Amino acid sequence: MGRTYRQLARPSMLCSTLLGMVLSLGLLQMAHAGEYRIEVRDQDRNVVQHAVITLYWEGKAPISPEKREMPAAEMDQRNEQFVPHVLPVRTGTLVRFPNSDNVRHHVYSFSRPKPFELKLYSGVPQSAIEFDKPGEVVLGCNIHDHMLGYIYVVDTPFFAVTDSLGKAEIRELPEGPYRLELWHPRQRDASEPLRIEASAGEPHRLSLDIHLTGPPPLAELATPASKD
Amino acid sequence: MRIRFQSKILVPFAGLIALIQCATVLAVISITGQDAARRTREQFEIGTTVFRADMSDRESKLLNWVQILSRDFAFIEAIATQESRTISSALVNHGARVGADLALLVKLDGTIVAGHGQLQEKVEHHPVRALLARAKSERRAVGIVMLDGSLYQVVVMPVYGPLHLAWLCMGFMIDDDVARSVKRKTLLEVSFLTQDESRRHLLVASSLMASQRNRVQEQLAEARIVQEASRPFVLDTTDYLTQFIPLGDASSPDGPSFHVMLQASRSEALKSHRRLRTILVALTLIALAISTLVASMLARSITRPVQALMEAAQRISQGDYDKPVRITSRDEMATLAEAFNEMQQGISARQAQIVYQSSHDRLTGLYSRVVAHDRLDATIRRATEDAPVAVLILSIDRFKEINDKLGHHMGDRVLQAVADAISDRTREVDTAVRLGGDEFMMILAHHDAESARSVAEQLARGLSDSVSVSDLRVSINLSVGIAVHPEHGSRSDVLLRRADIALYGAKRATWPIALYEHGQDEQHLRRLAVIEELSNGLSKGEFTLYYQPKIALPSRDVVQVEALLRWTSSKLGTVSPDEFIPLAEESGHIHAITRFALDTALRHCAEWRANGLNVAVAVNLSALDLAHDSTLGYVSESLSRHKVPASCLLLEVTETAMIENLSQSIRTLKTLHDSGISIALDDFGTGQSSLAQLKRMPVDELKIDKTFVQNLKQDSEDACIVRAAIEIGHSMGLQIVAEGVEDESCLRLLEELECDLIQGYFISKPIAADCFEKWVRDYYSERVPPSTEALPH
Repeated sequence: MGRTYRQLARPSMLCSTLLGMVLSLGLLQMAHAGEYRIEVRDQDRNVVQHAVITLYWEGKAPISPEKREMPAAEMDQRNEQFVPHVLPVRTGTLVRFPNSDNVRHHVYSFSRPKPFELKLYSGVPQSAIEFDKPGEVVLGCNIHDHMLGYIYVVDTPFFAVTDSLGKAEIRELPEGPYRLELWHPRQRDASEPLRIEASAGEPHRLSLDIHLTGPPPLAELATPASKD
Repeated sequence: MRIRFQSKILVPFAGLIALIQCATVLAVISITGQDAARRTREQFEIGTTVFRADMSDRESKLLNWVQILSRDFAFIEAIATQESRTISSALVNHGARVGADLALLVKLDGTIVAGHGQLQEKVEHHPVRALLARAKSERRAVGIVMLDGSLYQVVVMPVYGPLHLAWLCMGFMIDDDVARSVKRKTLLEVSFLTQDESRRHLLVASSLMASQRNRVQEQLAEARIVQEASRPFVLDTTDYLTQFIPLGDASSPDGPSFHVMLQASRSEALKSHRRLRTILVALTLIALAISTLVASMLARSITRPVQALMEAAQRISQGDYDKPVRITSRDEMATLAEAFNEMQQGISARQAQIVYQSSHDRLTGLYSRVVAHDRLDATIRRATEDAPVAVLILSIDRFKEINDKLGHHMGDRVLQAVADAISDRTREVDTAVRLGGDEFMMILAHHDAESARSVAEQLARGLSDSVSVSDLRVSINLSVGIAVHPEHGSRSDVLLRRADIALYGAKRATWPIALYEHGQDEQHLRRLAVIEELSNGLSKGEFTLYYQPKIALPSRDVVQVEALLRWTSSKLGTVSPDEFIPLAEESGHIHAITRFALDTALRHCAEWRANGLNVAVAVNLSALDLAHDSTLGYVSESLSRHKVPASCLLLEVTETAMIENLSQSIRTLKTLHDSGISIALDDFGTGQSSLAQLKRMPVDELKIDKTFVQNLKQDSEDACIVRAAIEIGHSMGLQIVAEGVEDESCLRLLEELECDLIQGYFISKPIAADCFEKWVRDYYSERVPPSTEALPH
């Protein structure tokens, strides 16, 4: 592992790409179900919220899909904000867009995995939207340029998003090899996948670094102070 | 004087006004000119500020429009389709909404997705790249872009959905309309310029008219434009105040730089100033003209009276007193004019008096001599060609006697009576003149000789019938000479002279009225010429003495010579003594002639005596000489001067000469005779002398006149007279001389009659002085036997 890390780490350090580092090396327990506890920090050592960690099974035998049921997800709108800001879902998940505000919203996305449009509505729209293709779906509101949300569609049951402390947990991982991918809306470049092993026993602790850029330019930021 | 005086008033007056006017106008023109220039600058500065604000405003508007467009959901949606055609049509559609002339969509990777205009795959080579680069750092950009030869104001704006999707570029063409709309706001000419490869400025869009545009373009091609925006670049001082303002990103070194050229038209600003100047100059000229007019009128109002007075003075000096000076004003000039008029009237009256006095005789009231010629001329002029004009000159006979006997008072009364009589016969067209003394003249128009003569006869008859003068009846006799125009002459002086000549004749004739006869005038003129030449002849020595010997009988000795005057005038030729002696007596030259003769004869006598020729000389004396007191003195003085004894001088006097002033003549002759000079009575027998008179005369010789001697024959009447004369003479103790002896028989007869001396051609004609001695010698040598003794008496 260490060698792998080193192999990975060197070019990443050189290329200023994702720098993955094992901060604490616990014993890789061969357990029935493994667990990963991951902490993400940026280049300034600040904890990073809204980072989505995705693990893709790399084992020889496929994992039975029925092992995971897919509950519907919600992308709420509160105080003219998408809540949560980043919503990772597995492909095929139906996402509802309830409106908790007392103003209407016009939620749309022009992202390739799922362009859609929910014209001005309030409350909970009739139908949920199924996100059937993996990828990044940027959400906006046509009448509130400052609203920005992300639905990150992954084709794996193993994913988690970091909380405000920059921590995320992925449990019930079948033992075996995984490919770890890290995504953040403000990441500067797509991260290099990381290969990890999941084993039962003590949870694996993983600390990941990510290079973030500033907040993305939004339309309202560009609004000039009109002279008229 | 007038010009100078007038200009003395005119020049300072008009000059001062001109000076003030010009100064005012220059000041106003200068100030307004400066003001116009200042206003031009102000307008230019304001215009520049307005332009900047306007451009900024326009940019803001364009930005806003494009931004709003970029937020249009449908537009974003169309872009999100990523279909090139859809995007293109959306661009055209939405571009049209904001009036964009150019629209481009550039993906974040620099790929040009859609748009119109010259499309390229990548934006790297597109003219908007610089703007795009700026937009990447500033999130948006606005600037000037040159595309396909046109100038665009291009806005680059990001398109979000909600993240940044692409760049929207919208261009708004800057064309002449834009320039003109800017001009409307700034009131400046606006031109947008670009630069070519050699950094020369080219006019792309402009508010200028086509013609101006070409000129400005030419000037631009020559000019190197300073890049500093703050400093106004003056392109053409006469036309425009010009400033260049860089447009867009001036800092980009390689990109083409754009400028806007603002121009304030000087001529526009100066137009009102020029109009003002024109009006002012016109006003000045009018004011000058008026002031000059007023000044000249003023000057004339002063000089006109002076001029009038001056002209009046000139008139008066030329003798025109009729026109009074008229001055209407009431000032000192008018007083002066009054004085002038009074003076003029005074002069006029006095002159009239003088003229009257000078042209009229005071005593008789007739015209005076001085106007006689003019009156005659006037009458002749008035007379028609064949209408005769008679000139009568009348003279009162023996008026001196009347004066002497009755006194001058009576003489004047007589003259007045005659004048009255003449006036009575003078019509309006005639003229009566008192020529002076007792002479009058009448000019009778339309009178020929006969009618004039009848007038004269009536006049003379009336006066001779006795005239009552102061209770006295006087008989006045007139002599009248008449000359008639045109018969006797056409000129007044000729007529007057001829009338005078006629009068002269009338006085001598028995009939008192004489008409001028042709030829009289010539005689008269001859007389005048002779008289005139007499004194010349004397002074030039034209007079000489010839000597005619007298010989004694019966001895036939040469005892005397008579000195005879000869005058050969250089002008008149030989003039005989018979002609010039009476004239010399009339003119008073006779004394000088007598003295010449006396002096010369005595000189010759002295010479002959010195040569042993002892003859007495006889010199003729005029009656006037006898009357003249100085004659005595001169005779004795001459005798002593030439040292000739008085016995050798014999003075011959005519009978008539003696009688005219008998007592005086006798006194003189006595004195001469007493001094030893012999006296001969010449021309004896022709005069009126009586024997009683002869007895009183101190005479030594009697000269029988040659009229009795020339044809003397035995037993003729002449012989009786000569015999009687000789006998009378001898009885009175006088020597007898016979003149005019021309032949031997006459000589023998006279010898027979015992005449004492003979003289005549038979003996000798008169001989020149220098030949006389030779003649005497010849005379005696021819005679046998010659008598050597010439015996003077």
